[in-house]
Amino acid sequence: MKKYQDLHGVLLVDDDRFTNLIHTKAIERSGVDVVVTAVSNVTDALAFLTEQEDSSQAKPGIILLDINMPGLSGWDFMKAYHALEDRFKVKVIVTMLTTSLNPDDEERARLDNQIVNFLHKPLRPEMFIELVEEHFERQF
Amino acid sequence: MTTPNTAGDALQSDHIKLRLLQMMEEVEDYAILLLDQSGNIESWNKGAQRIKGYSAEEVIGKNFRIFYSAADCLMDTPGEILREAAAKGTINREGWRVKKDQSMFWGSVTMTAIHDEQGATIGFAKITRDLTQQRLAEKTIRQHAQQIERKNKELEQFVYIASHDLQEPLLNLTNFVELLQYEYGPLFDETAGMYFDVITQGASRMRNLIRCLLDYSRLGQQIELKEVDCQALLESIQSDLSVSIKNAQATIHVEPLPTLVGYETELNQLFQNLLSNALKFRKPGIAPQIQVRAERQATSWCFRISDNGIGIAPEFKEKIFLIFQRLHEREAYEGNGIGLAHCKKIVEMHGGDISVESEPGRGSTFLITLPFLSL
Repeated sequence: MKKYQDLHGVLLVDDDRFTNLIHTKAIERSGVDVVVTAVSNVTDALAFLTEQEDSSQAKPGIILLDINMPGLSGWDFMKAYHALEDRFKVKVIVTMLTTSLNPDDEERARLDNQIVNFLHKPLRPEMFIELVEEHFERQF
Repeated sequence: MTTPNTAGDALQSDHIKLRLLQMMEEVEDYAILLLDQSGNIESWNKGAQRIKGYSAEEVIGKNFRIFYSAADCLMDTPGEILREAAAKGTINREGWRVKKDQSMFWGSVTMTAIHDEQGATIGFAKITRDLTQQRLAEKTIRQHAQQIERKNKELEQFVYIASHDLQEPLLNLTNFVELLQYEYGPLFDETAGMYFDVITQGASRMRNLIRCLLDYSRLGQQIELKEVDCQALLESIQSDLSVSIKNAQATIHVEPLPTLVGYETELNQLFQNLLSNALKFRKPGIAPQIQVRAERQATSWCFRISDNGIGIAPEFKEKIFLIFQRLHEREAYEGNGIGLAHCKKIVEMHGGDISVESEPGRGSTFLITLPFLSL
């Protein structure tokens, strides 16, 4: 298992629980040592973020965010997220787009300074490793 | 005009004035009337009777306010018209006016102030045309246009939602087949492996189709006209297709092509689709020969893309331009049946036309007209 500085947990936000499952599996297969938490809506995601103590082992360093969710969407999440206190924020937010079919979403993700990247589903182990390598220091 | 200085001239002039009056009296398409300073009706012609419904006896001496609705009278529209005509000389107005039977008509009114020799306003000439039919026709056309626009928006929205919502379960299908193979692979035999492949291929094909559908619906959004050098365009397409061209041992002959105003990305797609088709639908064992030409016509460019391929039977000449229409089995010619539908949409975006001349076994020529556009 590979450990990275400041990366304890990953928060998955997707209304489709099968997608969450697939993404959890992909992260497990990547060999990166993280606690994966999956939630299925924006409210739970915000609650999870603001309930984590700094010392918590599940405190996420990465959020993988679905955009197209019923009710509050990924963009609604971002709006609420921007208003959060800094101590609740995470290092890396990645939007997960269902397909490459909507250039508008890609454009919007690019314009949000908190979103570091957008990826197309499904997340694969090698995509996750690349993401972690780019933003976190490996601990030996 | 000269001032009459003899009795004969004066007589002649009076005669003409009388004829003018008679003519005005007889005109049927225009209501022509004279009003005094405060808008009371002094004369009435046939047109006025026809348009407004009153006879001369009924109406002369009454104020022209009777042609206006209660609301207009409340806002003093008639008074305002008179004041403005007095100030400006002549004014034009359009609006709903009231007939004798209280029904409404859309009147186009010209009100001209008449002055005495000292320049004081002594009355008004009022000419009214009934434009109700034109007005209604315009309204119908406008409504149709709005309706079409609304339907188009709905359709775009529908395609987008459908593509997105279809994509998600499909993604799960693919993901879980993959997971199944990854986690339980060793438990399955070769036949099961083949079944998995069929599922995966089917899902991937469907994904492709949905993508095409969405591309088609998005085509032509957020674009602007610019100068497009078709010669350069064709060169770049040939370089993009170089592998297929080499594999097919095709020769492509491009005659001098114009620079024209159009949508660059879309034109690129148009020519690329047509060239790909010419390469794809070749006769077995015969190297494709493709020719691209353009000819300047009175109001448009006419492009001809000819090949020596398998050709198209007459009964399919229209059908090939419809989305997802394929003439051949997938095993024979790979494809989604979307290329020519794209082409048609692109050409129509430019206000042009696309058609095909062909005989089975004797090649095809695609004809494209692109009207001259300006930036």
